[in-house]
Parts: sequence; C-alpha cells; structure tokens
Amino acid sequence: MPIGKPITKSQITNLLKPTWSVNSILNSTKIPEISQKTVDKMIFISGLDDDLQFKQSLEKQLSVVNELDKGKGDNNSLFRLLKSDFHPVKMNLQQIQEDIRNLRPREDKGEVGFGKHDYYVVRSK
Amino acid sequence: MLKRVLSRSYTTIDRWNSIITTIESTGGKYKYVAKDNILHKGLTTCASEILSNFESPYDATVIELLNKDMDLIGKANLDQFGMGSATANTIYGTVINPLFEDDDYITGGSSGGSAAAVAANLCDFSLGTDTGGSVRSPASNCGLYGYKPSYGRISRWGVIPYAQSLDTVGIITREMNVMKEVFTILDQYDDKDPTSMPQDIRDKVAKAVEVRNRERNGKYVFGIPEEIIVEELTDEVKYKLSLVIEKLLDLGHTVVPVSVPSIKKSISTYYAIATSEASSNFSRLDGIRYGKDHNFEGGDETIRGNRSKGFGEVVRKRIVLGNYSISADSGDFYSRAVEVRQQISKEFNEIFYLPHQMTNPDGLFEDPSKVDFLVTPATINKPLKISDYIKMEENSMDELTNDILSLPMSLGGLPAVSVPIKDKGLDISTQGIQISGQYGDDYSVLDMGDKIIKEMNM
Repeated sequence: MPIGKPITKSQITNLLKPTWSVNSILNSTKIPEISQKTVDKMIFISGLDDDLQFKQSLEKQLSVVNELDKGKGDNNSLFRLLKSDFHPVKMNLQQIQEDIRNLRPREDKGEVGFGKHDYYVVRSK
Repeated sequence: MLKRVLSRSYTTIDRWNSIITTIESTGGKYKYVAKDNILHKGLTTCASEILSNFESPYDATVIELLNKDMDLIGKANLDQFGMGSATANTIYGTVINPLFEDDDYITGGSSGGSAAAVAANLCDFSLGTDTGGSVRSPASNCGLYGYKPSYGRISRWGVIPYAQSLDTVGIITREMNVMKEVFTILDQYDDKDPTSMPQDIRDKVAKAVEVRNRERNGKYVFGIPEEIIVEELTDEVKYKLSLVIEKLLDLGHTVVPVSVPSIKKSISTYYAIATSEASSNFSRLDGIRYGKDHNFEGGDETIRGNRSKGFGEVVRKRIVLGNYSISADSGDFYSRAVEVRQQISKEFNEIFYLPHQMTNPDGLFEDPSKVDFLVTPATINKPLKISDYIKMEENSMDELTNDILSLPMSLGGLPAVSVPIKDKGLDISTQGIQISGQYGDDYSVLDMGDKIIKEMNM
C-alpha cells in the first residue's frame, strides 16, 4: 500500500527507522567496465582533449547510473511536463506555414543586433 | 588537496566569495543578486572560463519582471553551469558559508553564492536555479528559506540551460514574506519560454486547490516517504523531523507513512537524464558560436582546445557521461532513466489527493486518505568543512548522498521549499526541513512552510 495508516506521537520513532542506505548505491562494488575504444569515442564526440582520467571517472559514474533496470525502449523516449506532450493540438500545413510567416525577430529575446557581440563569427588568422 | 579552493583565476567582492560581479544599484524595494547563469544585459559567466567574457544582449524574463520594483546589485557565484554540490567547482573560488566563524564550511550547491549573499546580509533575497536541489540544499545549509517552484511555474527564458527538462528558477530569502512577494511577481506565463506552464493549467490548479482547501477545512494530510528515511540521516535532522511531526499532530493534522518505491532510483535516473541533456546543451559552447576563443590552429583543435580549456573538470566528466548515456554504446540508458522518471511521477500521483492538472486534469478527489504535503529533511547532514568536502569528493561519490532528498521532487516537477528550523540548543539552522506538494500547488507549499516555522518558533 503506498499510503499507510495515520500515526500517533508514540509511533514517530518507529516511523523514522531507516529503511535502506544511499551509500549502497553510491559505493557500489559492481563497477562496469568500458573499453578504452568506447571511452576514446566519447571523448572525441564530446569535443574534448583526453587530459583527464576519463575511463576511471566514467566507470565510477556509471556504477551509479547502472542501478537503472533494463528498459524496454531505445534511446528515443521522452518525458517532459509540457502541455503539448500530454494534450497535443493538431496543426495542418497551412497553419504551420502561417506561423512561420508570422515569425519576427524579437529584441527582448536577443534576436536583434546579436551579431555585434561577435558570436557565430569565424575569425581568419 | 586544497589547490582548487586556494587558487582561483578571478576575484569576488566579498570574503565569502558569494558575489562575482557588482551591478550599479538603481533603487527598488529589496536588493537582490541573481545566480550567474541567469542572463542580464552584461557579463554572465556561469563561473566558467569558457563564458568568462560572455556579455548577454538581453535580460532573462525573471530579471525583467523583478527590475520594475527590485534592485539587482550583483551576480552570484555558482558551481560551473550548476553542476556541483558545494559551489566548489568555480573559477571564482569556493563559496564560504557565512554561518560559521571557526573555520571555512561549504554552503552546498550549486546556488551557494546566492545563498551566502543572503546569509551574509549583502542583499534581501537572491535568485538561484534548482535542477536537482541546487536552491534547497544551500538554503538549508545557510539557515535560509529556499524554494523550487513546480516545473514551468517561473520562466526559464534567459537561464543558461543545464538540463532543460528539470531546470527551474528558485528563490532564497531570510524571511518568508519576502519569498511570497517575489514569487507573486515571478508567477506568470511567459510566451518566450516553451516550457512555461500555460495560463489555463495555472487556472485549473487554482480552482482545484480551492476545492481541496474547502474540503480539508484547515486540517491536512502529511506524508513521510519511507524511502527518504535512509541510514545516512543524522540524529539531529531526525530529531528536527520528529519535532515537526509532533507539531503537525498537535495542530490536528494527520501524518501517514507513504511509499514511493522509485525514489530509490532517483539518483541514477537524474544523472542519466541531466548529463544527457547537458551534453547536448553545452555543444554550442566551442569558442566560435559562444565562449572564449583561445586561438588554436585548425577547426578540430579550436573546438577541442577551447572546450578543454574552458570547462572545469566536473563539467567535462559529466559531458562525457551524458554523451555515453545517449549513445548507442550505452544501449538504452537514457530510455531506462525516462521510464523510471515516468514511474516516479505516477507513484507521486498515486499518493497526492490533489489531481495533477497537467497529466490528469479531469481527475477527481477520490480518496481523502491521500496526502496534501510531504515532509522530509532538506539535507542529510550538517555542512562539511571545505577541506573535508574536497577530500570526500576526490575519493568517493558520497557528495551525492544529499540528492536522495531533493531529486525526487525535481524529477516529479513538484514544488518544494526548505525551511530553517533552529539546531538543538543553537540560534541558527544548519539543516532545514523540506515541505513539498503536488505539481502546481506552490502557494500552499509556501503557506504551509510559513505556518510550520511560525508554530515551531512559538
């Protein structure tokens, strides 16, 4: 049962008895092994230099993430608290085209005069 | 060992390393600082080398709303991009907790600068961001109120994203009345933010809360999740929690044990989701599109060089984990995490009396034995000395222990506030109690936090 019976003052101590240890997850001895080839690939796609002990750190972090049960899907699932995800409104092509036509750069969104800050400018040497 | 603490590349203006940029005062009812991952027209660094010269061309919506009546006086130190538990991963030096005088203690993170500035009386309130506890934890460690809103309740427009499906803007104060005043200003739908809670959902929540409050007639049901009662909780925080439970019973409320089994998987779930989203968000930071260019030769070297020089160690490690989680090499890590997140949300909906107005807007008030609020500690233990924290961080993953108390609410998108309750025999609070509620029930959560504190201090 997700909801228990109402407690009285005399039951508070019992209620606060520990049920498990977080450190059992954080200090798991089941350290997964990742091949150096995979680690090198991840460093490469992350756009980083190989100047840290990434293999050791990735395995350490994965020992925590690895607690997740085997899933059913691929890596394309999403869960967001967005109205459009739970109550989607259908749009036809005409409505989409009209929305695009009505798009205007907004100054309050930083979409006007952005170039003067030099971002997105590739400099020649 | 203390190299990271003692050496810093940039300076702060106060001895707690809380404020990293000052902004000329323009007057206003209350002085405030904003965490330096919230844009204002000017320097916004995320406490990172890569954005150390970044000037935003616009203000975040929260800054725009507040600046009509409030006085922004500076930007606050943080763990780079919000990644960290002690505000030690920053180019501005570790933030020092103003509550202690005998030694240097951590504030918690990642909004440690925002909390320290309020605790040191440098301002009346501050804005932080809370992705997985980053407002509640430092507020708890610094004896303050720290509030994380329901997901989407306060605009994220102009907040540099860490993990956009979890990021929220939170508020830190010394007084609850200031908290409520600031929240009332920020509680608005924002058409610039696609994740902003739409007005019709806000209206539905308000109506449902009215019905619930009428039915409850001032006597509510409080749940204590058994999965939160972990071995690592200190006796002191359990003592505080027991005092709060006693007080609730004295006031005629009902307290019940509840079970949300997936809470045990919240740390794993959070790290898979947050790092995956971060690795995508940070791909734009390469010194070309955004960020400091160190003038390396060649395209590939430019990107790798700028990013390796520009991101701190923690950020780089989490980017690699994120890329692994979403890659085919991991199999389906991200998907597994999303499934657990859905399950956590479902389990919360099973225990809350108020129906979830986003996922179940036609839900009925069926079972009055369900709960209105959850009461839990905000942090597991007292703040550590900075030297002890650094030692622990280097040798284990124990710095994540506190997260078990804050992450479930983040994954569920629930509102939560950490409130200060004085330590036994002392006049300060170094560990707060967290009150949380159903998605959208923010005002009730703040009101209940306020009532509990007033009753406890009588």
